[in-house]
Amino acid sequence: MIKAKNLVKEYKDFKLDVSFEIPAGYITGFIGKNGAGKSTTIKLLLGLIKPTGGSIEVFGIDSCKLNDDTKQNLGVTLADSSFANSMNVKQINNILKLMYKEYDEEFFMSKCKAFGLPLDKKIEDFSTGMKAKVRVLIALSHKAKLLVMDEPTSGLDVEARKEILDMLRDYMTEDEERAIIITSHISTDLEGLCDDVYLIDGGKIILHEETDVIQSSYGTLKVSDSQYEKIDKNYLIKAKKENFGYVCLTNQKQYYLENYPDVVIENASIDDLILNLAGGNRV
Amino acid sequence: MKGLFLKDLYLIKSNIGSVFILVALSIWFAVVMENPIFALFYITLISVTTGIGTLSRDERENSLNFFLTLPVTVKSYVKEKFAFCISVGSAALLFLTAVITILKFGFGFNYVMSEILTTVLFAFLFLFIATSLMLAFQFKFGVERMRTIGLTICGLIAAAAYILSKFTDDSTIMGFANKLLGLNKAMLAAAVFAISLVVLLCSVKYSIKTLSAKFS
Repeated sequence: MIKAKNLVKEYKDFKLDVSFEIPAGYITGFIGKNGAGKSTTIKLLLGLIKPTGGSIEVFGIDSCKLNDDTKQNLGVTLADSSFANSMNVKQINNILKLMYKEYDEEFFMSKCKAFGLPLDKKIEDFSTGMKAKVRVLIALSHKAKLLVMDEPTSGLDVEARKEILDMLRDYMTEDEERAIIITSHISTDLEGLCDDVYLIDGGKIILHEETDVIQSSYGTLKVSDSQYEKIDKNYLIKAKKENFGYVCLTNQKQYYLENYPDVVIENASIDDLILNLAGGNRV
Repeated sequence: MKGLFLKDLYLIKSNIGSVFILVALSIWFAVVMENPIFALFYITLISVTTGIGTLSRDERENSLNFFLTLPVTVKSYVKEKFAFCISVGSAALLFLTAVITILKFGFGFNYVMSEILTTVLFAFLFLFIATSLMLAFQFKFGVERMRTIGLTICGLIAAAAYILSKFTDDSTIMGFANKLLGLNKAMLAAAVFAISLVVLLCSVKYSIKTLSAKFS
């Protein structure tokens, strides 16, 4: 569904250089620290900026050449951009009706009502959670084949986040040919939702892994200085010096569980990957 | 494009109080002045400015990035803005013409109808040119810089008018005006219309190029 090959975007003080492929039926997460290149990747994917080099295709079309028809199949939530705050839900509904051929007014309005979103109230008077729900519903309202969600759950409480993530799961269940790309700072959201994740740091993809594999094979080892000297480092990806010794990241958790019973080994979360891969020293 | 058009109408609706005051002011100008020429040009200018205000709102609320993820391209966005400003300007101009006609035939105002119709025709041409120039500048420079540029242009026009009145005697200006009026009016209108159309098309093309460059 999306194919990025040697995609490069250069700025004065930043260079993004990535290659990735997102097939249909996948929910893919893009994670990384602020300024890592996630939003630049999303903008390139949406054709909002042009690459300096390489190519990125969406539905087999150069992203900069996406026309009105191909955009019918895109549903997008941007973190900092949407309809004007002076509008209300009814007005947005009327606009979307004219924009999309496959617009599902019944779905949009019924979901708005179900979420308790006032139809006549200005968006500027909505809470952060309400605004986020409207943004996601807009993206879901026209049976898009690809959803691109930039920080859809940012600033929301647990309940609102759960409701949005459930909507995204339902959206995928309806049609397996769909795909979602999502960026989020809240790693637990991605762990429970994504099939695979790309970790971006300094404009480069430093890890691409299925979430199941992360949960089953990745682990963090907490070792003292003396343990660190003795331990087999062949399966350690990164090590970070701490007060008590080292925190090491491995993608062969089972090996260390079997061979080093005295070492503290914990399951690695996406946060651990970010902290270690984007910060630690390569072993 | 229909969706964007409706979106812009909603933006104007959210500011309906100011629009109402400006329209009322135009009608007042038509009533108190013997000749409604100023009112017709005034309503044309403020309606174009109101239309362009929707672009400022899109810019200020950072909505354009989002619109370009909808079934909207840079090309269709720019074309819609031009179509919207010209539609709003035309509607306002026709509305005031209707009001003036009612004032003349319903309330006995002493307007010369042929003069009014000629003014309306030229106001339409002014609408084309004002839209072309102001939108092209707005796409190029954005809201903040556009404000400074607008004030500078107004200042330059005022300065030019002052210099013209200071160093040219009235007979020269009147002579030029009479010469213009002496020309075949249909030919003159056609020529100005052709020029306006060329300016409009060039402005659309230039604005598309400018906005495309912002997304590179």
